[in-house]
Parts: sequence; structure tokens; C-alpha cells
Amino acid sequence: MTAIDGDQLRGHLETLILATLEHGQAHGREILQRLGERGCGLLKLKEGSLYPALYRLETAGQVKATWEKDSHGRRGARRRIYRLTPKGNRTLRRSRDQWQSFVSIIGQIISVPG
Amino acid sequence: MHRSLGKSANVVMTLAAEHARRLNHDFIGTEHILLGLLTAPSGQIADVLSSLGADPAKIEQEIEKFVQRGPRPPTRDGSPLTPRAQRAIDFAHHEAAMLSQRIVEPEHLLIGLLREDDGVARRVLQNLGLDLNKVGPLAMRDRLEQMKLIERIVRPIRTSPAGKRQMREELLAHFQDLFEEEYEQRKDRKVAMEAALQRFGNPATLSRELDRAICASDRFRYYTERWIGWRAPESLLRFMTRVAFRAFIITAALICPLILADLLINGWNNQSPNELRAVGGVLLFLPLAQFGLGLTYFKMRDSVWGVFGSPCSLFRTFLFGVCNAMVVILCAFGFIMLANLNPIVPTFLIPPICVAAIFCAIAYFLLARLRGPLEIRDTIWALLKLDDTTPQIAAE
Repeated sequence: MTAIDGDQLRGHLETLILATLEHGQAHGREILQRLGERGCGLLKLKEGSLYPALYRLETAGQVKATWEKDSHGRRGARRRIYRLTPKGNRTLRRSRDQWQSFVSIIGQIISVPG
Repeated sequence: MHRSLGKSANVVMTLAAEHARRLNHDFIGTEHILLGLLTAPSGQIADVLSSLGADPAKIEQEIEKFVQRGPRPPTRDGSPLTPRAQRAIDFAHHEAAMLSQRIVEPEHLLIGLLREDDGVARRVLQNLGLDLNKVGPLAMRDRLEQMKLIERIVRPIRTSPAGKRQMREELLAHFQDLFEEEYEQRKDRKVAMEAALQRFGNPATLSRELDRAICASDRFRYYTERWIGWRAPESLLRFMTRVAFRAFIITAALICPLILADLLINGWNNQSPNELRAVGGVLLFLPLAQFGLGLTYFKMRDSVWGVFGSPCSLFRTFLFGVCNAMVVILCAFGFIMLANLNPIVPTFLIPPICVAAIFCAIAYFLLARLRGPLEIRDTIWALLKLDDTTPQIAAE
């Protein structure tokens, strides 16, 4: 399989983030880790590009963020923990349906050569 | 154990206690903390000081020249901190907080020691001819470099001050983690920095992407803040002049139509000169008061926290508080004199004016205590010089 870079992900990143948060709250790096694990390392995304998507989701009320309270012995700045809101959950379900019909319809056309 | 200190800073404090015992001292002073920093296993602070030309061995000799060895070993365990050492640790806390760090590290302790003017540690380093202004930036260079990189991303973004504050901290936390992960593998700061940046993405691109993600209300707050707030890196005087001028324009725009309408409707009568003088008084003294209150507030805030060239001093804070109250009193008196065209202020007005002035100064002092750290942190970020020392990656 070929790798997928940031440009190809555009438009899908929000849904991907919502899908990772379905498994519980997470901070930025944890979201990337989950994406990496499930994409078998084939998602090539600049890590900073996660945040514009997260802020858009936050503005749209689909995720909610809080500052982490415990430093866990980390030296530096605080991280923000994101979790799914009910609205985000609904959006995720809708996007998932859309994606499945997209794949099945477009897939039928593209996948059979000749 | 000092609960609020990080692991390596705690190691330093343990070493400081050992040095105190070795020198037969039954207290821990700034000199012992300095010795602790020099002998810490990481060698980090010793490196910083020796790269500035102060050999750790020489510093130790100088300290032992400065403080006499005690006659006999201390009898009790757990020596107390001297007030100066305690203050140096408090400074270290401020220093960490100003740079959005929650844990005090050895480099913060070092800066704390330098900020305690009369401490033995500072005097010893001064005697050795060390350029004390260079110590802080060198000890914090990793941190500052990371902050500059994040600021390169955040500064151009058109969002509210609170939005920027949040982004700075969150992105910095992420980048720090990346840096530390890379450093673990590569053991070289410069290479690790470049690798972390490679993973994080091009600052200019991220800046654009983030700017596009800003919601309308944050965008609106950005423009209002640009209009009313401080525009880095303008000076305090320029800022306050701008604020005063704006106050003048707004009051003039509000009052002049009213007074004109009054003159047109009622015509010129024997009340008119008084009204005009009152309007003139407002137009003159309101901007002046804003100028004076702003100036004294910022000076007071900087003295409370000992930042931006102000020493941390209770006396200075009090002095600027008095100035702040005086601004209120002078402006109120000036207004009354002008409005009454009489150099004598009615005695029954003096007590309420003085009470108002004192309340004003106290309110500003509380503001400086409560909001000061936040403002200072924002200002430090906004004043970071984004020169070319930050590594850059080629455009994608």
C-alpha cells in the first residue's frame, strides 16, 4: 500500500480525529499515536497540522477540551485533553455512513479495471 | 524534599544541604545552592557557567573565601533555608511560571539566585567577572529556542489574546515532547531540534492553516484588541499616549455634539461658560488620568514581579501605588478647579476624593497581583525576537 500524505487527508482529518476520540479522551500526541497505529504508519501527516483541525472541531462544538491537571512529571507546558461531545458523536455517525456509501459506490466504479 | 521542585532541582537542593553540612553551616544559603548546582550530576549548570568563563573549581574557591567554615558540625538535621535562599527559590518559581513551565528546574534556580541581589551566590559570580545578563539566556537556550519557534507560528495568527495564549502553550507542550523524544535517540540538541521541527511541520504553513481555523468571534476580538491593546513591541510611553489620545477622541466625539445641540436649542446664556469649562475639564483630565493611571499601573506591576528591568521591591511597588493615587487626586482637583474657575477645592470634596484615590491604588495593586503573571507571560512571548537563530526547514 502507498502512503497517504497530508494533502490527500484534507477534508477527512476531522472525521479521523472524531473516530480516534470515540475510544476515549486524548491529547494531541495521543490522537496522532492512535491514528498512526490504525493507519499502520501509512498516514504521513505533519504533527502540527492536527491542531487547525482540532480547533475547527472545537469551534463547531464537536469536541471539548480541558487543560490537563496533573503534570505526570512532565517538565514543560500543559497539554489540552480533547473529548467527544454528543454533537461530535452524531457527526461521526453521519460521516461514517457517508463514507461507507462513498466507498461502495466509487469503489465499484474505480476498482474494476477495464 | 521540596514538593514543588522538579526531580533534578530536588537533587540540587539535597546537594546544597550536603555542602552546608560539609562547611559546618546550620543553614542553607544561596551559596550552598550554587554549590549544589555546580556539583549536580547532569553538569548542565556547570557547563553554562564555564562556557561564560567561570570555572566551577574557581567558583567553589571564591565561595569558601567568602563564607567562613563553621567551628563545628551542625547538631540538627534538616537545616533551614535562609530568607535570601527562600526568596531565590520563590524567584525560580516565578521564572518557571513566566515561561509556562510548571516544574522548577536547575536553570530556574540559577536565575533565582542571580535575582537575589544581596545573596552570596550573586556576589561571588559578580566578583569573578561574569556577565550576569548572559547567564539567563544561555541557561534557558533550549526553552527559548522552542518558544521562538512556536511564536513564529502563533504571532501572525489573527486571533484573540486568550486564543494565542492557549495555542502557544498547547503547541509548545507538543513540540517539547517531540524534542525530548528526538533528543533521547540522537543525544544532540541541534539535530533533535531539527528532527522535531521536521515532524512538526513548516511554521509558515502551520501559521496559515491555523489562521484559517479561527472562528469569527476570536477574529473580532483580535481586531478590537489591536485597536485598544498594547501592540508589541511599542514602548509603554507610546502605548499610554495612544490610549490617552483615543480617550480624548472618544470623549470629544460623545460630548461635543451634546454641547452644540444645547447651544443651538437654548442659545448662549449665563450658564454656558460654566458648561464649556466643565467640558474642557473632562476633555483635558480624562485622557491625562488614563495616561497617568496606565503608566503607574504597569510600573507597579513590574515592581511586584520584578520583571522588564524593574527590581522586585515592595518599596517601589508602594511608591508607584502612591503615584497612582496621586494621579486620581491631581486630576480630580484639576477638574474641579477648572470647572469652578477657583483655585480652592471645596473642603467637603477632599475626603471622598482621597478615599477614591486609595481605593483606586489598591484595586490596581490587586490587578497587578492577580493578572500580572498572565500579562507578563504574554508580553514575554510577544517580545521574543524571531531572528534567524531558530532552525528552519525548507519550504515543503
